Amino acid sequence: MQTTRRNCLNLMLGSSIGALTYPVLTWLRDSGTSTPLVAILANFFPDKGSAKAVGVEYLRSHPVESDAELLVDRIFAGNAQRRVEFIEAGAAARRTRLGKLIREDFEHGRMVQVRGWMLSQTEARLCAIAVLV
Amino acid sequence: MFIDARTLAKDTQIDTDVCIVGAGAAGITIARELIDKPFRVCLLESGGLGRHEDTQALYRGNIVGFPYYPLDLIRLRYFGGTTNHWTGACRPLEEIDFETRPEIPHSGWPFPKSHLDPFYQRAHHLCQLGPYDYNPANWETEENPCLSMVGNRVATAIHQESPPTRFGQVYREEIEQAQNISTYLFANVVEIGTTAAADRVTRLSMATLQGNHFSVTARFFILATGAIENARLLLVSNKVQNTGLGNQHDLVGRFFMEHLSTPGGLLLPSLDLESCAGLYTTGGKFNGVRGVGYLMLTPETLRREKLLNVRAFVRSASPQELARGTTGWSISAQALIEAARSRNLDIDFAGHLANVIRNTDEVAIYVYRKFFRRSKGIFFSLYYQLEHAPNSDSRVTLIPERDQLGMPRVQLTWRFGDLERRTLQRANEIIGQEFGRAGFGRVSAVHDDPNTGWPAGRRGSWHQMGTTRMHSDPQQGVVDEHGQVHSVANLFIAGSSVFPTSGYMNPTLTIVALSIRLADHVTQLMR
Repeated sequence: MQTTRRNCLNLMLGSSIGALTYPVLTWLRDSGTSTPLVAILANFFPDKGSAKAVGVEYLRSHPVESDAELLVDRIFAGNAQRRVEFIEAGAAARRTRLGKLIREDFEHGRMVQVRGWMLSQTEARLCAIAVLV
Repeated sequence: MFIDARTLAKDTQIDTDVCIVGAGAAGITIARELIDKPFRVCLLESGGLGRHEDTQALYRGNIVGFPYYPLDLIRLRYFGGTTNHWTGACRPLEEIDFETRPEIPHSGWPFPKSHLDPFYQRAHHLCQLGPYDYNPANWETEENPCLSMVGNRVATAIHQESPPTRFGQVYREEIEQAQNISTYLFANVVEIGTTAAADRVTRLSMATLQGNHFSVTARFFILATGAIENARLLLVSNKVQNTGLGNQHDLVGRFFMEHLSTPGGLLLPSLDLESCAGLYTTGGKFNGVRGVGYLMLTPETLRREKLLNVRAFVRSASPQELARGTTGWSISAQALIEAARSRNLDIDFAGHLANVIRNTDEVAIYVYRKFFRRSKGIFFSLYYQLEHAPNSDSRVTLIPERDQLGMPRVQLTWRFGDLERRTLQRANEIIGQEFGRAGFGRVSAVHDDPNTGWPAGRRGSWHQMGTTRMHSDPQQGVVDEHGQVHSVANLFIAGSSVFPTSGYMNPTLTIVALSIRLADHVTQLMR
């Protein structure tokens, strides 16, 4: 089922039928599946080992966030539009968007300490997703 | 002319018009300003032209409270005073340092910074600096730019570097050849004599270590012996006023201030700071004058956060550390590891973090106009210099132990409070926040030694200030806005002991500016 949904999503992403994309993706999301997004975010860092090392430390002090779907939801602040746009974007654009979220975290003081280092909540959560998936 | 006081006949009485006690930055500045004026000037210096250990030993004293350096290490007692070992960093105090700030008790100067600007400008010449212009843009280059912070919470500032000017060497010939100035070396004030009402100084009782005794009478007297010694001289002069001269309100010696210098967070850069942070690590040149960049919190940030003033140096902490020839700032690879450990940080973890942030911050490079190269995983460190909040329990007092001249030695009690601690923590957080926001990297939190509540490696900066503070109200200050001791009409005090607040900046330029101002004032009085 999950594979079928992923294939369907890939098909939609590769399609230029933009008018159909949003409703379909919305259906996918509302079907309780953030899995594509989780998968994308889990593989965001080229050096997954380093991401996991940071993520483990984050989850040690934030055990209530040991849920990939929860983390995704918090990264995108429950904003469905942002999730869809992120899925639709290419790799470079995704990096830009996440970078923007991270900078916004710092701008608004949404920081956490991980092993003594002051990090953005978003980047810490991204690392945590790498651990959980 | 220079006269060796050890050759004076017993009970010699020297009569002059203006007597300056102490030939350091303040005393030499005042003397220099009075060259060729139509009155006599006597400059008294405890030491000789070079260092003598028996004279230097007169500076010994006790220390309680916050650990501090030996009092005979941080001060030099010969012609030129402590300029014989100062490092040369110069910048005026900031405008906010002169303001009365509700969150900082006892803050406020009797005048705004703008009043001192003309004197700062003149002081630049004595300290062999460039123009009176501290715009960082003058010192940045394409290779070593200012860090482009986003927002207005943190900014780059510059201090200029004097060669450093050794006042005793650079101005010795001028002073020696001045027709109206007599400089007495090896001449120690042991007591300030006054009228029965202690409202005028009548004479200075003098002594040499060889046992000569003589005296000085003058129309005006200026104490310029540094914050600790200025207070000491007033406190020991207690034959009439038993709490010490000018000490009716128990202020002499109190409010001792010193800049706390302390390691802050480590900085893990996500861009090649090593190749483009030169303005901060080694400085730049403008008009032949070296300027060093650092980070400061903007006045708006200080007011909003209710913090003391503070600055942060960005220091390379790699094995390729750029040695500056000053104590404490070059750090070997081993010291880096120790520094990381003292901050309870794991170098391996930091390596993982570096891999993470390089990937996310790379997108921010476009806001930074320098090219990006892969960082080598090198740490930088933030090193803070903090304003010391005026604290009446931080003070200089006398102890029964006496020196070779028979004068009571001093005890220094150096105290800090929560405001300094909060300032350090919050400044580090704000800089960490702004570095993250700008995509420059990540900063670690300040790590306190659990035994002291302060970071390991915190120390003083060899700046002593505040013990005869300036205030127009005699119940709040020892001297008035002109530097005159409130209750003593012909006694003035020069130097950093009159500072009501310390700012974060090294005090020498302000000492020289205030001394020029005092010299002008005394010249007016002599008319």
